[in-house]
Parts: sequence; structure tokens; C-alpha cells
Amino acid sequence: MRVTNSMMVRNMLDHLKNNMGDLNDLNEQLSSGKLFQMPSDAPIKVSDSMNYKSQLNRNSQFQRNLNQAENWLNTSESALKSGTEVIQRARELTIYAANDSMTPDDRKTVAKEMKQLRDELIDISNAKLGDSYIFSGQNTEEKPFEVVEGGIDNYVKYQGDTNTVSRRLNENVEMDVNLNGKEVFKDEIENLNKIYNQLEDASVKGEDIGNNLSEMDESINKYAELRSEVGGKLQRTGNIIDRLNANEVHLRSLKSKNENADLAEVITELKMEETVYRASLASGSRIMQQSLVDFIR
Amino acid sequence: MNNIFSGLNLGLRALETQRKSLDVTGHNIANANNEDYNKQRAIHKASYPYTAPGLSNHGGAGQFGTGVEIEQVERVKDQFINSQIFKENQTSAYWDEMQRGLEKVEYIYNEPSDSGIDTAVNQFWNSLQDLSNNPSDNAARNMVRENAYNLIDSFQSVENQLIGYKESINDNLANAVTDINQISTKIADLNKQIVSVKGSGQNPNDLLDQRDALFKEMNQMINVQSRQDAQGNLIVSTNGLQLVNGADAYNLEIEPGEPGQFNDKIIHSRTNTEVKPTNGKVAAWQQMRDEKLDFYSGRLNKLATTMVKEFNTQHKAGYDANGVDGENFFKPIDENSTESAISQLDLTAAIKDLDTGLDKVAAGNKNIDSFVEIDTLGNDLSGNYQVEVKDGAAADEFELKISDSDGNQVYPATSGTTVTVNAGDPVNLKVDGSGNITADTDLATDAPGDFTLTFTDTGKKNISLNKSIGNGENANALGNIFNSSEVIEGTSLEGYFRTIVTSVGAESSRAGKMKNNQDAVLKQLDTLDRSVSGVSLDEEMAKLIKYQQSYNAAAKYINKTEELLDSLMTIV
Repeated sequence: MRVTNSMMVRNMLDHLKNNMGDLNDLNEQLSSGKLFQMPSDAPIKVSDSMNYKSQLNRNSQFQRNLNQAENWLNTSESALKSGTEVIQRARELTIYAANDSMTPDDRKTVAKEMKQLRDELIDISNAKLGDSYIFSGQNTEEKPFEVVEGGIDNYVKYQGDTNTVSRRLNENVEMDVNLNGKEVFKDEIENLNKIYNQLEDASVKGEDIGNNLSEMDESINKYAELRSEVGGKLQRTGNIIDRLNANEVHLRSLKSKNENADLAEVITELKMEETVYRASLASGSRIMQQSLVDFIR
Repeated sequence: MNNIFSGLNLGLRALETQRKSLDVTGHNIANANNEDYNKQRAIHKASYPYTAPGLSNHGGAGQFGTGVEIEQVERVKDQFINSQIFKENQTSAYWDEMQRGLEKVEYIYNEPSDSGIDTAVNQFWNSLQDLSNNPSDNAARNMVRENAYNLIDSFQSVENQLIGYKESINDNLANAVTDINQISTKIADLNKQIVSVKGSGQNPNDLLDQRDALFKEMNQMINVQSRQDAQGNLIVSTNGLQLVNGADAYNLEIEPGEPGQFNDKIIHSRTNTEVKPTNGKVAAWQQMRDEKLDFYSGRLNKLATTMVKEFNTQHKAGYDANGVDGENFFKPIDENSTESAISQLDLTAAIKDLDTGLDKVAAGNKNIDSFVEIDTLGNDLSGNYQVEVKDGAAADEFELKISDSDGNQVYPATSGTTVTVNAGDPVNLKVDGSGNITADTDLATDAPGDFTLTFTDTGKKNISLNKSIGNGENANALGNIFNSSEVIEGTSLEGYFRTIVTSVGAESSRAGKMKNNQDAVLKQLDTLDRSVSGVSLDEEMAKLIKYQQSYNAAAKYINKTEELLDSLMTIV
């Protein structure tokens, strides 16, 4: 093939341009740390990366939901613990007061503490997380109990509802985090109120007071069961958090593998490209310097 | 007669021929860097020989040569390569513009990034989850509204940029038409000159170079065909419509389309027909404007329309902070409107209201569980109940009873009995002020206290007819519409958006590859062309010496002839 000067210059320029382009690509990868800048660089990888990004976002939201769920469960748990203590103390007082050697005046002294215990149990049922009453079902802006002494609800009226409050903890995992205040506290408050009234009433015998013990034993058992239920849920949230954390690490590594440039590899390639670029510059300058003109005088 | 003086003539002709050849060489050297220049060559021919006269040629041996002359100055050109270059230039320019256009679309979509639609969707989802966790919190409600605005903005920003790009392409077409017309006029002018030069028996080499260069430019703009007639006119046409015929150029014109639609047409002025280019830059621009951009904004609009529809449906299934059934969240999209769906994107006035809008976000959900669905038709409903559903006698029958929260049966009224209901059919019920539930038999289905229960499975569940603010289940369900599958073309909204981005990327990537291929083809052809027609300085330098030597030798020959004459003269 006949080779002309303009061909050589054009070829050289083309090659220089290509080499510059390669250098530019590698430089972009190096300075951004990413294998691609635009969807056309790697359409499928870009889609994957967007997917990973979205999944990571969901993952971190689930972790936030979980923290809130755990707070809710922990608050419930400590309310149950306090409730158990209150009922245990009330039980001790009831045994003490059921003794027939107690005079009505003695019982009235005990009644004062019993009243305090009743009110304390109401206070415990008012536990809040943020602005929400946790024992009111979904009616979170209302206190669970209203005191309506002597009404059809006897002493307290449950103002919450029976709906469950659930939290989304993972894809397709939802957990009911609340305990219904009516089931947890209503009977207990009424019971303490009944004992308090019996203690105040001089005509009530010790035996009648003692009859309340079985109900209190039931309550203590119920609280133990509820605490183990809440404990089980906490255990489960702990497991889900572990799973979410593991998944996050997994997703991050997938995303990184998908989109991050291997710096060592890029630098090596960059060095190689640099060498090629230098060589093409050097050979170009040499070719262009020489022609027959130099040898004719 | 072949005599001593004819030697002088022969020498003179040789001198002239070598000098003219040196001129051609000089012209070549001078144009060594002219991209459009084709090497020229002076073709030497022995001049007409001298035959000694005579009846039967008794003049002795013959014929005698009379030296050399230049037959023609030839333009060295391979027309086959040349026509291929023209054709490939069309395709090359087409893919070049296509790739540039699709790259622009990629920039407009701005993915992957932290500021595109994808991120806006994620943030909106996050705020819905936060609302689901804290349905009574006004800050969470506000974030939902703000992120909805943000989502709308990001959709509209992309669409506006796509429309802006469409407009700029439309404007550009007018410039392209002007360019094409200028080229046509120039080619017509050149045709006139070329024909006249050819008529005088000479080669209009440099004019031909110019015309080839112009025609190549024309090929980059639009798909054109050409042929040369016997006089040397280049006749140019596009899709059978003549642009240049001899010394006449026929202009293209822009016919403005409907306002705001950016669909100006290109019209061939002489025949008044529309020109529909199939290759070259103009074809790429028209396709970009009329097909690609519409396709991509169309898919985005479809996404927006589906999103609004799904979101509103779910929003209406919930109830707001005041326990009132949810209304539309987004303004419903009028699909018959001339406005695009995305430009219609907005929140409803109720949601936008600064005082009451936040309360209108329907975070609460009436549907309690998978097996029972409550639809509250009237407004004055309250009370907590327990529903119990057992299998009935037939396959799609259930036995239902409802108790109050203390366990006393309220429906049917007689304790221990049940009511048979059909699976999936709504059971019309009514609750009165004292909490009694009765079958709702009147035809007005939305009287106070009316509600329906629909059962799909057996089970036991506490239900509440109260619409409590602590219910965030609808907010969760609202978030789910973005990634629940089978919503749009068999995929989720998020997935569909990813598909759009991937398809732009894939198409752009393909255009890039086509462009590179085409560049390689063109480069190969250019190399071939330059190999044939390019100026080699080495070659020209060698020729320079060759002609110089011949010139010197011819001069020497004249000199010797003169000496011969001298010696002849001295005899006299």
C-alpha cells in the first residue's frame, strides 16, 4: 500500500486520540472510584447498583423501625416488671391484712398503702413512648384508663381500643409490638381497688380479704407469661437486627463489587496506557521529522 | 521535414513538459495538507511522430519521434472508494448524533446519582415508613408531604429537560436546512463551472475536489444519492427529490408544526412534498425528536400515571388523622388532557392546605387482617369487637359470630348461634349507639353506623370500629406500592424505572458501539482513499528531482543542437 504523509499524520492522531480516550476512562475510574459514570457504560450493572442502593435504603429504614419496636417492647417489659412488683407488694399486704388478729383500724393503715399501690399501677399503665401511650392500642393519644369510681366500669374505664400496633421489621416481617392495656391492667386495677375498699370497710372479715389472693396469684402468673412473651419478641427483634446487619454487609459488598473500581488494577492499567501513550508520541515525532526533504540540497 | 531545426522544437517541447510537470508537483506539495485535495499527475505522451514523406516512403527509416507533450493533468481518484466514503459518512453522522442525543438523555435522567427520581422515591418511601411508625406525629406527616413534592419535582425536572431538548433539536433542524441549502447552491455553481471547463477539453480537477468535499458534507447532513451526467453535472437528490440539477439548486424549507409540539416538517420547496430523511444527522435528529424522546418521556409518564392511580387507591383505603376516610393524595391525572401526566402531577388542594392538609394524610388502615376486611360506610362507628369465623357447611361458606370485647355475643343476638356468610361477599351490618350490631337491611348503604365485613378465610380477630390515630398501617401499605410487583408491565414501580434507565443506557451504549464501528469503517476507507489520492512528500520530492534532471538534460540537448548548428554555420 502506498503510504502518504497525511495518512501517517492522520493515523498517528487517531491513535493518540484513542490512547487519550483510554487514559481518560481510566482516570475517571481512578478519580471517582467507580467503574461506570453513566447507564451506557454498563446498563445492567447500573440497574443492579440502583437495586442494591434501594435495598440498602430499605434495610436502614427497617433498622430504624426495629429500634423503635425494641424501645416499645422494652418499655412494655419494664412496665410489666414494675407491675409485678406492685402486685407482689399488694399480695404481701393482703396476706398481712387477712389475719383475723387485725383490727379495722390496723386494716385502714394497710388500706392507705393499698390505695397507693392501686394508683401506682394506673401510673404504670400510662407508660409512654414519645407521645404515644403504649397500652392504649391504636388510640395512642388517650391515656389507657380513666377513673370512673362507681360507674358501670366500676373503678376505671378502658379508653384505648383492642387493635394491635405493628411494626414492619423486614421485607414481609411485621410484628405486633403492643400489649392491650385492658388485658394487662384492667382486672388488676379493679382487684386492688376492691381490696382497698374491703380494707376500708370494717365489716369485711379477714377471710374475705384472703380470698383475693388466688386472683393475685393469677395476675402474677399472667405477668410472668406476658414478660416471657415480650422477652421472646425482643429475642426475635435481636435476631432480625443481626440478620439485617448481616444483609447490609452483604449488600454493601455486592454493591461495591458491582460498581467500585479495583484501584490496584486501574492504576496498573493506567501506567500501561501511559507507557503506550508516551510511545505513540515518541514514534509520531520521529516519523514526522523525517522526509526526503531532509536529504536533498 | 525532419531536419536540424526540428531538434530545437523537440528540445523546447521537452523543456516545457518538464517544467509543467514541475508545476504539477509544486501544486501537489503545496496542497499536501489539504484534506480534500486529491493528488494530480501530469501524464506525459510522446507527441505525434514525424513520418518522412514519399510515395512509398523512400525517405528511409521512420517514424521519427517529435518529443513529449502533456496529454492531460489527471486527478488520481478511486471513484469506488469515494462513493463508499459518501455513503458511510451518512451512517457515521447518523450514529454520531444518535449517540450524542442518547447520552444527553442519560444526563437528563441523572442516574445513578443521589439526586434523581430513584432517590426521591426512596426518600418518599422512608418518610411513609416513619409515618407508619409515628402516625400521630405531625413532623412525620409533614415529611411525607415534602417528599411527595420532591418526588413530583424530580419527575417534572426530567420531563422539562426532555421537552427542552426536543425544542432545541427542533430549532436545530432549521439550521440544518439552511446548511443543506447553502451546500446545494454551491454544488450547483460548481456544476456550471465544471461543465464549461470540461467543454473546453480540460480537467477541472480542483473544482471537482471542492465539489466532492461539499457533497461529502451534504452526505453527513442527510441521505442523498448522486449521479454525474455526460457534461459532468453532479445531480443530487434525496429520496427521489432533486436538490441539485445541473446549475439549479432546489431548496428545502421548514414548515412549522403545531405550536408547542416541536414537530416542524422539512419540505422540498419545488415539489412541496415532505422530506423524510433516513440517514445522516437530520435523520438522527428527527428520530430523536419524534420517537426516542417521546418514547422515554412516554414511559416516564406511564410510570407517573400508574403511581398516582395506585397511590390514590391505597390512600382512599385508609383514614386520616381525624378518622375520616382518605381522599385522593395526588391530583387524579386526566389521561384525555393534552397536558402530559407529569405536568399534571400535583397534590390535591386538600393535602396542600397549610392548616388542615397534614391531617388529611391517610395513615390509618381500616383493613384489619388478611382474612377480614372492614369497610366503614357510615361515619359514627365505634366499639371493639371480636369476630370469629369458622368453616361452614359448603366450601365457600363461613359461620360467623361477633362478640363484644367482654366476650358477650352481640351478633347474631342469640348466644351460641352463628350466621352463614359467603366467602368474599360483603356482610352488611349496622352498629347502634349502645354497641349492638344488627344486619343492615335498608338500602341506604352509607347511613351512620353502617359497615361491611368481608371474609376470605377462617380465624378469630379483635376488630375495632374506632379509627384511632395510632394506626399507621395504611402508611406502610402506601410505601408498598413502590415495590410490590406486577403493578406496571409485570414489574414494580421501582423496577419499571430501573428498566427505563437500563434501556436508555443500553440504547446509548449500542449507539456508541455503532458509532465506533462506523468510525473504524470510515477510517479504513479514508486510509484507502488517502493511499490512492494523498500527497506523499517523499514521492513528490523524488519527482521534483526527476523532472529537474529531465529539464537539465533537455536544456543540454538544446545546447548540443545549437553546437551542431554552430558547426554547420562555420562551414558557410
